[in-house]
Amino acid sequence: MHGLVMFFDGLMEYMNFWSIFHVLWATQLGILVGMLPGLTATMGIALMTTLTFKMPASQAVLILICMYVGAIYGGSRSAILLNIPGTPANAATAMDGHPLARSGFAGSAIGIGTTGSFFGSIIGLLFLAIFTPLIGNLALNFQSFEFFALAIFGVVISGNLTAPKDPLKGWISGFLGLFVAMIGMEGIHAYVRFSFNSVNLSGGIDLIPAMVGVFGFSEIISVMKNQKLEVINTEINRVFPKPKDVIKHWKTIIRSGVIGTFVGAIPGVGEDIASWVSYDFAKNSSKEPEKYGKGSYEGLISAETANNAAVGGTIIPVLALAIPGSAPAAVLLAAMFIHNVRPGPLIMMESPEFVYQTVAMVFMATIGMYVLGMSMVKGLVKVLLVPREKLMPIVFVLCVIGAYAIHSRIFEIGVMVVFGLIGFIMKEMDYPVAPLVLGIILGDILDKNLRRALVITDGDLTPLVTRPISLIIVLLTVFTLVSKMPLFRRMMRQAKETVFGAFKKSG
Amino acid sequence: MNEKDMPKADFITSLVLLGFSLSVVVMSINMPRLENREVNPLSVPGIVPGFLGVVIGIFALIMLVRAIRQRGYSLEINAEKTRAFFIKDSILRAIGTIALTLVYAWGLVGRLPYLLSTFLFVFAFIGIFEYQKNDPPKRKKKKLVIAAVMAILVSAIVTAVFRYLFLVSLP
Repeated sequence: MHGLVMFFDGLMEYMNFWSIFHVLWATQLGILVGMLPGLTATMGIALMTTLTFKMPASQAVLILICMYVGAIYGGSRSAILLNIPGTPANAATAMDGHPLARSGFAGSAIGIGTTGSFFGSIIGLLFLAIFTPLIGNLALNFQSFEFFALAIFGVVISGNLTAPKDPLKGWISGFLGLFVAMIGMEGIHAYVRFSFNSVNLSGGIDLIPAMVGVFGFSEIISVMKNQKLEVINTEINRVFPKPKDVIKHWKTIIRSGVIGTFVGAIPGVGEDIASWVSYDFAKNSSKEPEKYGKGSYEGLISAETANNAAVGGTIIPVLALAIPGSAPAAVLLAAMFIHNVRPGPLIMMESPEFVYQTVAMVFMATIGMYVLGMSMVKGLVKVLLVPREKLMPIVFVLCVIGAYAIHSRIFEIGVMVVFGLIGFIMKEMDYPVAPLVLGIILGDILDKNLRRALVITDGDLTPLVTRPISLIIVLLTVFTLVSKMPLFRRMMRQAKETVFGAFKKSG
Repeated sequence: MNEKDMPKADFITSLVLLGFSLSVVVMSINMPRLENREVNPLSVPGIVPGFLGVVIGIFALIMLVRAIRQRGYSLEINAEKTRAFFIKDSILRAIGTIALTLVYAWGLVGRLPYLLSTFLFVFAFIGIFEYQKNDPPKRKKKKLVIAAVMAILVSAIVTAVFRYLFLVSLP
């Protein structure tokens, strides 16, 4: 109840002309960024951080959240019309959205997708409001061992889920990220590591330029490398869906919303995995699974509900643990630090009102997204016609100035370029980049807490498995690692056969 | 990259990663123990990077073994294959993009005035990538004019917004 009051207080704070103005333009810009293949939510938020860092925290974070919600939704537009997901989060949307557009139902596909995104976002924000305080309170019991275990678990699970085909590459990516965080002055004895006598490197690698590189510059190279996109020629008719067309999917909406939020809240996993998991669940429990991939509204709504629900989910660990649920959320976290908002376990003690203010921001962004998403549909399609040869140099100019602007250092442009090239090579060789980014954030937590823990216990690591929360995290980490090993899978199969075989014999 | 070439790529990457992890471990061991400051030996700066170096080394070893099993060691690099790779349209576009962006980010920004360097980059990028050999001269000229107009607009708007609105002292 107290939370509800704080939510309304937060909402009232944004009921003024400037806030609503910011919501409208930032969400619209987010939709545009999301729509354009090559411009992702992460890149949009990273560039927007550099544009808003002189604003007051409450307005800047509002703009970033609107950008986030708008971009994750906006990606569905190009997924439906181009068969190219505007952001990775909309890959599952294209599976059914595009076949619908091809059969002449582009308008209703956009309408259903937008409505799914709206409900997903609402479910995500409800969970955000309920679970952030709970997890925050639980995290108050966290000590060095728990934080160390959590940092390792974060990169391992992120690696596992972002590289399902080859988790080894995901883990390598995550541990390389942890290593990147080791560069520069460390936080306990102020010793400068791996700087090779460079004054610039001794300050460490800043997250924003690195992310602009990994998610911006590398994407520019990929877009230029790939084939030209073709917009399908389709008439967009009625967009606003009939209520009964939405109501009949209520089960899918709730299921996908819950799955989306849950997957979003897992460190470094994100909206793309959320929508695939939700799509799979919807397909498996559907009465018409044969329609999936050929133009199923149910499939479309499952994907779009989940990716927007994941947005709320990814912010839960950002606020409660200062660990991001996805790459865009990682930028959001970095932006909060820039604005002197300190998320983490103490947030419910120090500034609980900020948690509910964030919920209010997501709410405003969701309303903005629905209103803008349902209007100006035909006009916005023209944006997709801008050729990449004209768009990409502009994006790169923004990447360069964005990397430079926060600290006004030419060195950050170099960081952006190097990480862009690393990101491009990694993507070409099937390494996911999200664990790398998560690793850069978690590296500092890992470093301080492992050393602190070792000093406290005089080198004894047993509290890792004797403290209950730590033990649970360690077991989850071990299971995540072992479950992907061929030997374990063979053993599991054999065990299953033995057990079932025995039953069959006795039967 | 296609599936067939992945074991070869993994073979090379695993060797690079092994070298990387080894150098990280060696550098971590050689980091000062800060005995003169009577620092607890369990909190020395090299302990966590060393641990990460070892973990990355283990992962790289697993990848190396896997790549060898999949015959990733037979790289079969020859002049003909290399040539075929570099004349692919997509590779040429990627190399062109990287070259132009690197010249702008590392060569021009900071050396020339920001407005001028940005104009040159945008103009060159659009001009080069929109160039079509078979276009009639009139069309070629039109494309260049559009590229110049866009370059002027982009460089002027970005400069104005960052200098006067966000108060950033441009490079």
